[in-house]
Amino acid sequence: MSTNETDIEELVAKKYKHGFITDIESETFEPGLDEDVIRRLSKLKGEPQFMLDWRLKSFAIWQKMRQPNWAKLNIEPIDYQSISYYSAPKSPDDAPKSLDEVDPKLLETYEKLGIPLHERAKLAGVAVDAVFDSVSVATTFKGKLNDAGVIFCSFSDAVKEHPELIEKYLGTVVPPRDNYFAALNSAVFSDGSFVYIPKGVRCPMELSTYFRINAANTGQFERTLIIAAEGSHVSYLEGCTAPQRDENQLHAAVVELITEQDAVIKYSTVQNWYPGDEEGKGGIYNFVTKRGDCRGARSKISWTQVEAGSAVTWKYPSCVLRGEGSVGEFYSVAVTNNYQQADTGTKMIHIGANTRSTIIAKGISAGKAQNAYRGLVKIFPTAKNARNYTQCDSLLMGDQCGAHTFPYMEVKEPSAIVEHEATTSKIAEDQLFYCRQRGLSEEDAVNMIVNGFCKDVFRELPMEFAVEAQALMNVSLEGAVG
Amino acid sequence: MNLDPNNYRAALANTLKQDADAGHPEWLLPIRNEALEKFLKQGFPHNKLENWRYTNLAPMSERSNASVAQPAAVGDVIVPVTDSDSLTLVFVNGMFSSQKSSSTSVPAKGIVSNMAAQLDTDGAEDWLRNSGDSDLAQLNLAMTNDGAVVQIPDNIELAQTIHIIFTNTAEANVFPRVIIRLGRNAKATVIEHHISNAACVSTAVTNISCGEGSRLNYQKLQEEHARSFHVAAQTIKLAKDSHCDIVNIDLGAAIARNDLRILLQGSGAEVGVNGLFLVDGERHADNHLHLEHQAAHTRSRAHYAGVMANKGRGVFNGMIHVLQAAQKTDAALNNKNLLLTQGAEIDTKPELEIYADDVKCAHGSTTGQLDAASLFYLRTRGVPQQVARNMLVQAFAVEVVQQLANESLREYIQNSVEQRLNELVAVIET
Repeated sequence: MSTNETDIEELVAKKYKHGFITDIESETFEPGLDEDVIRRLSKLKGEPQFMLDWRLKSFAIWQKMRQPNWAKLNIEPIDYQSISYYSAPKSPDDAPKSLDEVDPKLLETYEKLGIPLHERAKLAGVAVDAVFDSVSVATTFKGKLNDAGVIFCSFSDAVKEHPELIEKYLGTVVPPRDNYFAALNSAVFSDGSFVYIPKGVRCPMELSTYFRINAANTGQFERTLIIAAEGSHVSYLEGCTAPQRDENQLHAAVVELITEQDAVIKYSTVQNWYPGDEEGKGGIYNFVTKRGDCRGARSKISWTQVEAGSAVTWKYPSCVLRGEGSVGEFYSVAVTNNYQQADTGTKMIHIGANTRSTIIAKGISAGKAQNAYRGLVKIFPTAKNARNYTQCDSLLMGDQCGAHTFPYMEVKEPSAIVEHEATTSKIAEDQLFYCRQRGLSEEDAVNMIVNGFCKDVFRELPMEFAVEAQALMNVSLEGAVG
Repeated sequence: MNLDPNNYRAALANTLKQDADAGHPEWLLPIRNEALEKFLKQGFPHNKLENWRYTNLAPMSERSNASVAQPAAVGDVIVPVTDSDSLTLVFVNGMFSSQKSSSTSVPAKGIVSNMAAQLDTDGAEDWLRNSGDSDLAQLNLAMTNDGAVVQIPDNIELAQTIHIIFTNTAEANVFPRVIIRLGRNAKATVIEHHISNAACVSTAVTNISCGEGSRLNYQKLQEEHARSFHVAAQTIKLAKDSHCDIVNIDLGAAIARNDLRILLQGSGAEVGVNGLFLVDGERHADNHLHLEHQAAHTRSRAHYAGVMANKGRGVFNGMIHVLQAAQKTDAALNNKNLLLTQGAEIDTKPELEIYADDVKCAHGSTTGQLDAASLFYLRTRGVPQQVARNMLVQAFAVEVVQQLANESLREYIQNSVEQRLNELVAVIET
């Protein structure tokens, strides 16, 4: 291709824009993991007994498990004893009640990220439960949500204020023994978000949480639980960016979604954690278990994700389509550059009759990155007239990278229709030529084509995320044309 | 799965004795010993292995263990239709039958013969060493009594079809082996046909290499007895500008497995694969296709159709693997499955593993029942429901059968496919 080599080198060499560390004092556990650490963690968070028991039970399960190695990932062995399992910003006693009370340094961090919390909250009507290194520091729009009867709070608060809901729903979608990382998370999860939308309520605003990893050597173990009662509706946004760091950081999150009859949950993620440098040094290890359970008839769970960061991504947001006529959706863009590795996809488990699912996955691989789609569509004999459509497209930029597709389809019901399509190609020269001919720079042309490639997914994102996602795409792939 | 090594070692001793009696060359002995020890070390593949996730060979391993040393008695031999002018090699219970075979002569010192008769030929060692690394190939190598060798010299075009028939009449273990070597610009059509009227256990290996600019039509037909096991591994290597058309049809066996590995090693190599599997009753058919594009400007097309009914279970795994050197690869793979009745199952996994950027690769897979709109169309034309169904199912399968090059064989297979499908469709109605 007629690309100007030096331009590309220059562009590829661009540093991670969000690489900075906020200098605040943290209260941090010394590295290591045993039962005592879990007891201390639970005590520190003032948790009821059932929570501690659950954590200890999970820890026992985790100890008997081994880290899975079936994914197409090349991972340095992780020393789980060298990680600190708790880190919180200082002075948790006087948690801020409004933005004015928020540590100005934190606000500064958000400014740097281009997310002015207060302005954004006001302008966009978004309530932000900002998780900063595991402990909730600012919650806005609480009143408005209260009026609607919506519970939206940090997981720790929910454990204290709504223990009955936690006890009822926690681990019912992703049980501790589900997999290695889910078990680890269940034992040591630090904080996260809890959402409960009561019957018939349409949540009055988009809910969003920004997860950030800040303190050095701190594993981040988020746990999110969203319950949409009969006929309710909620759209939840999750976005991530992290400061630059040399050592690999471990992140093992669990997200559980539950929809009752006719309820809808839309879960959107933009993930832009530190991917490591050009040599593949550093970067976040991201092992996430996300699963939604469509329990009620005609309920719907929709996952949208833009995965641009992390050195290693291991993530399969899934839907269990139990309720009759329930719907699962998965829209994903995964971008990998330099030495990034991603093994991501979804599972659609069709159990109920007339269940439907759609999977649109777009993978973009550049530099020396490896990008794999791994998915399962399973149709049980009970899923009469189930329907699945899957489309996986991969775009390769440069001859050092790889793009892989591993779709599993297991069909046990003759009335079901399952369709799968996948393609792999590079950016077509005629498309590039056409754009160049119209006076667009190589860079702009590539951005335009890539954004077009991802359009099917981007248009599923809420407005403000769509803008961020496009910008992110351009940053991640700057000059990676080859 | 517990293997009794003594059982296998005893069987090997028996095979080695036969080798000695037949005056086979001595280099065979260490090869066989090594292969058996390798096999005993790894044992039968099990469900924990990704490649064997959906196929359980436990019933086969039990039978293999118990009867590996049994000599096979010859009973009623069934030999399928052959063209009068085709070169036929017939093996009954693993042993070559010169009576049933036609006399074969190939110009310019080519070979179309049984392997045992040709072990003194230069390069014969290569036929047996080159067994690939598939899971049961080592067992085949240790135990194989005989097989077919097709060696076509440079620039020779063989007009006649070569029909290799492995027919089994006893409940015994057989280890068929087929070697095909095509020289530069050679051309041939080879049919590998497995057919049995007793519950045999067949572990087959086929090694093919196509020289520069050669052209091969290779067709494998499997019509084993309904209680037999058939596990086959084929490796096909394609040199520069060679072209191979493959048809793979599975109609029989209780458990059938094909590992078809195609290596496109020279630029300009091209391969087309058409597969069909019919599984009804409690049959299980597993087709693994591995297309490895190693060189630039290589092209592959693959199409597999599966029809499942009753408690039949079909498995398909199709991998397109493009190495970094294989720029300008053009690969497409398509798998269509028809589930006719409740209780049937298909597990399909089309895969892409791509390390070169300037490529065009695609795969697709669909699973469903008969298209309601097509059925309706036929009904509006006054075609009765059952006939309409039958027409559509036949059309689905016939697409693959029509790729068979040999006319009389095509007719023969088409008839048996039609008959089987008629029975299947009749089952839906009741």
